[in-house]
Amino acid sequence: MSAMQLVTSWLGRVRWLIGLDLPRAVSVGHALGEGQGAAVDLSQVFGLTRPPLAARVVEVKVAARRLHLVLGEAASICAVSSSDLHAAPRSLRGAMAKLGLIGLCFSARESSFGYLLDRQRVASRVHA
Amino acid sequence: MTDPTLEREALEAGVREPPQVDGFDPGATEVRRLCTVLVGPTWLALDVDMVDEITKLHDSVTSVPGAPDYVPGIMVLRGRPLALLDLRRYLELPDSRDEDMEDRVVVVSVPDMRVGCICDRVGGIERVLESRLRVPDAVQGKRLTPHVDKMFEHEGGLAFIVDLPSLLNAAKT
Repeated sequence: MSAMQLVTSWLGRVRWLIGLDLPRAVSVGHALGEGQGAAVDLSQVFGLTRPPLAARVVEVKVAARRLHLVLGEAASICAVSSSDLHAAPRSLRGAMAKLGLIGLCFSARESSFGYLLDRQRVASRVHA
Repeated sequence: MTDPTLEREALEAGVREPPQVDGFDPGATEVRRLCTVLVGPTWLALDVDMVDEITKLHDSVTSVPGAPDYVPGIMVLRGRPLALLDLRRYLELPDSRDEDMEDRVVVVSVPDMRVGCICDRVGGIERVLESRLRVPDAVQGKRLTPHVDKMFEHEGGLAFIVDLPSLLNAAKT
């Protein structure tokens, strides 16, 4: 059973697990600092409430440029089994695709699903 | 042919035994097997062949950002995601639940889609003669109307047979 590495973070009150595949993540989990006004706050993209102190920034490459995504607390890297990765349910594919959510990741510990994020689509949505 | 898994789970979910119909002939082709569910004040009937199972609504439902209010989220069902559809909200039917009612999830499959439909109560599996079916004059709820073609007398009122593929395709986001 193969596994992939994801940058994961809880986001907002509802504790949505957001996953990004690791290879293109440049840095993970540093606190939101001064001068990062260009960062994309995913809690705003998704209409969530994130505790201000829980912000963690993941720097990812999108095409040739770097993008700072502000995630929530506990941004970390974890290995996810391929059996825990699922395509978006067909009936929700439209709503999820609009936000750049391309699939689901099951968390046995939480007994709930998190979302897999397509960074390119998030970036294009933000910069559209 | 009766699906033993479905009937067992329906019975575990607290529904009654399938009633016998006067003049019922198990081999007759003009009999429709329907699963009746209560949604708000309205009885709906779903084709049993499209019903996979009946389960309780779990506590851990993952919300879907940007989804309409009739999509409460995604539920875990044996480790796999199941998109939920709140039938009462989607069909814009009034809330008429008793306090002791527990939501039920009727898991239905249509081509390319598997959805958990939240309803207020599961009635049971009915064997209904085609001759009992009538074309409805009026259906409560304008969102329900395009997805109903027949109805029959049920529990002293009426039950409306739902075209599930049509309804689920209309409700998908």
